[in-house]
Amino acid sequence: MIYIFLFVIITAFCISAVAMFLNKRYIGTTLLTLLLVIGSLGLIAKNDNDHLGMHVTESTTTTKLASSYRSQLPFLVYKQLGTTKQMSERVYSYRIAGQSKRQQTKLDHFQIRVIRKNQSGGHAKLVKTVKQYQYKNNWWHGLFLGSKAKRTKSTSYVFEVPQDWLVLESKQAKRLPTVAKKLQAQATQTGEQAVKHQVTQLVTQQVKAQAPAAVTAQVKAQVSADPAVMQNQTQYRALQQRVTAQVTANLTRQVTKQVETKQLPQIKRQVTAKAKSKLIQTLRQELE
Amino acid sequence: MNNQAKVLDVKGKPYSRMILVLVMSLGSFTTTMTVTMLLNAFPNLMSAFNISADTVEWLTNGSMLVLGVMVPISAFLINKVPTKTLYLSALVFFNVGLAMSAISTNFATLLTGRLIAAVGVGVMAPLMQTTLLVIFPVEERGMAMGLNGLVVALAPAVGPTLSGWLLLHYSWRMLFWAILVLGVLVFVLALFTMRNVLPNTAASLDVISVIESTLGFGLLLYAFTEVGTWGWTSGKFFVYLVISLLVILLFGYRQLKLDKPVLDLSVLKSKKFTLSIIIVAINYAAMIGVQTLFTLYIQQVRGESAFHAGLLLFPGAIAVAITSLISGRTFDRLGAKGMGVAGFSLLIIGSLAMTQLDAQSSLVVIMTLYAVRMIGIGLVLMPITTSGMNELPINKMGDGTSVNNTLRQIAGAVGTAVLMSILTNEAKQNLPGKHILKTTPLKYKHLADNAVLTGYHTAFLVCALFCILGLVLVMFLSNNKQQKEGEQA
Repeated sequence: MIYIFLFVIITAFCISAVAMFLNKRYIGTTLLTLLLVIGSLGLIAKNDNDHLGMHVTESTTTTKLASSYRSQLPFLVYKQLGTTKQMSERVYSYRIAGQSKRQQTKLDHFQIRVIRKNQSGGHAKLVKTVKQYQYKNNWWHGLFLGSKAKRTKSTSYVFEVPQDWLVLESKQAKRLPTVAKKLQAQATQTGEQAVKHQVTQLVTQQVKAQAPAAVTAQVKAQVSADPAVMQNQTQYRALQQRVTAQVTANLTRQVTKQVETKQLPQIKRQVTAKAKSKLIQTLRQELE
Repeated sequence: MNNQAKVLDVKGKPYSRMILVLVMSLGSFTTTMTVTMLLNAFPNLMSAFNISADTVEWLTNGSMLVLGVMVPISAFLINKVPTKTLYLSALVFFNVGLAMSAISTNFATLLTGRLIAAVGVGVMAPLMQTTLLVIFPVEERGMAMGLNGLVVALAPAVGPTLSGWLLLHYSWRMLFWAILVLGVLVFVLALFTMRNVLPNTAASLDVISVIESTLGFGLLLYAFTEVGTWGWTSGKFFVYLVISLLVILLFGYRQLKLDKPVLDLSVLKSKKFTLSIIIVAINYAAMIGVQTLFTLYIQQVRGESAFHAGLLLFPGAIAVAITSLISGRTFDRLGAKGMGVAGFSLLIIGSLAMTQLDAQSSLVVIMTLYAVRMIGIGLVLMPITTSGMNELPINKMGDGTSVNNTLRQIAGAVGTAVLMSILTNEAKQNLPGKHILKTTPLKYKHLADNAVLTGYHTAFLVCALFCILGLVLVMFLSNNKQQKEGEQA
């Protein structure tokens, strides 16, 4: 409304200014209309710059994020501008879960923070808070009708990142595939060794636990079949040795089969999980 | 129909007056549009040729300078050369210039094309005005001049809007191609319909005067354009300024000595006339200068497209057209002083309000402030020009018009150059150090944006100061109404 009022009052001002030089009576009207013109322009400027008649509203949205780029190891990527490491000079590029397009943090953002969550797995989260100026009521809105009704005051971003996510600068992100490949090859090797080691350990343990009883039973059986062995110390010892070797070999074969069918997947899972968390830690040390 | 059939050209052949007027109007519309159409292509051109704001402004300033220098020359040409030949030659200049700009691969060619086209424009505008005055009897003159006024007022308004729309879809070259199509169409139409309607005399032109004025005003414009780069206290600026002023003084001295001066400066003996043309020059500079600045502001600071820039300026352009029409009629009855005071008041207030604009300003605010200023322009331009003319005897009117138009164009060009130089200079001084760009580019951008904004604000402020000078000068005017009553009494 104030814009219409302004042009009406400008017309009145022009008319009275012309009339003023014909009849001095109109000097008052001229000054009054001039003041009104200045006043309305002042209000317009006040609304435009200082948001007269508006108050600040805040809205917070939380969205699940997918890895910024498709990758086995999920990561959030940002671009560091300039030569400092200041957060205010970063542009984060994030992808909302289920969308293929990446979005970027606004250049004139108010604040960006990255928080590490304690748990791992799952999605990263973005908590975006937008502060806006909005008209206090319809009266103010009507007065300045035509001007921007919603004006962004500030935007702040908080990224909540789980432990097994990486937060990478774009240059680091470019290095990620090669570094990850190298580390992964190493990890596979050590992983395989670890699995083998664990299996042998488990087998030896079980064999050690079960062997004495089996050996005693077998020896007893052999002795009862041929009591003469008991007389000869050398023979008896040879028997004992033969039986022990036989039983251990048999047991080892048996237990290994058992362990491989029953416990191997679990061992592998454990080893992989451990390797992965170690891999991420190494990656974070090496890249971040 | 009967009446029309009787209209004869200088050779006694009949022709259709209406068709001739329509063709000439189309021609004027096309040519006048080119003066303002490039404004919102500036950011595009700046990046296309990798040039700064105070280089690119030569495209409009240079044209205005040519228009100014061409005023007296075209008056001579109208007397000397048959109408049809002159009109067609002007169109050739116009079209060749456009084509040259359209295919240009460097800034120098673009500018040269633009200046060649301006020569054509400089001839066509006064040619149309004189033709209308001659071929219509007094009682039909109002209608004809009204049509001319409509064309002259509408074309600058349509120019930026049309060019903005073209820039939305095509490159800046399309601006020239599009106008060229119109230009060639007008040429073909004029080839068949144009007649030699104005009588010719054996006029002569003092070449030295032309050289002096071109050189003098050219150097003056150069000094005020480059001062943005040099700085206001540089010796180079003062050297160019002094040389240009000396050449202009020489030109003026020669005009007073010559029997048939190129520009009859004797009209300046009337103090009231001189006062009026100075006021009009300030007003015109305030209009053109801020139009250039504002178009740049909308695109560079506010980040709107060329098309939006055109649209945002459209209401203001319409406002100045309507206000001019009303103020022109009101003047006859009520006098110019009141309108001058009101106009400059609005200009001052509007310019001051513009210093409050920033990168987030609402579009409606931008549009409104521009329109308020344009109303101020419209209130001053026509009435004060006419009041100045009324101070001259009838036989000096033509010379008065020439002097007024020349000064107005030069003031427009120099005024724009001054404001643009203030913009670049102020922006440059406030620019943060280069090391900030390296370490923290985002912070640098923020500071640099603020620096540019300060530049605009200072330029608007200086413009307001000039308008205050204008207001003071208006106070020295006598109100024509009262004077007329005195004459009658």
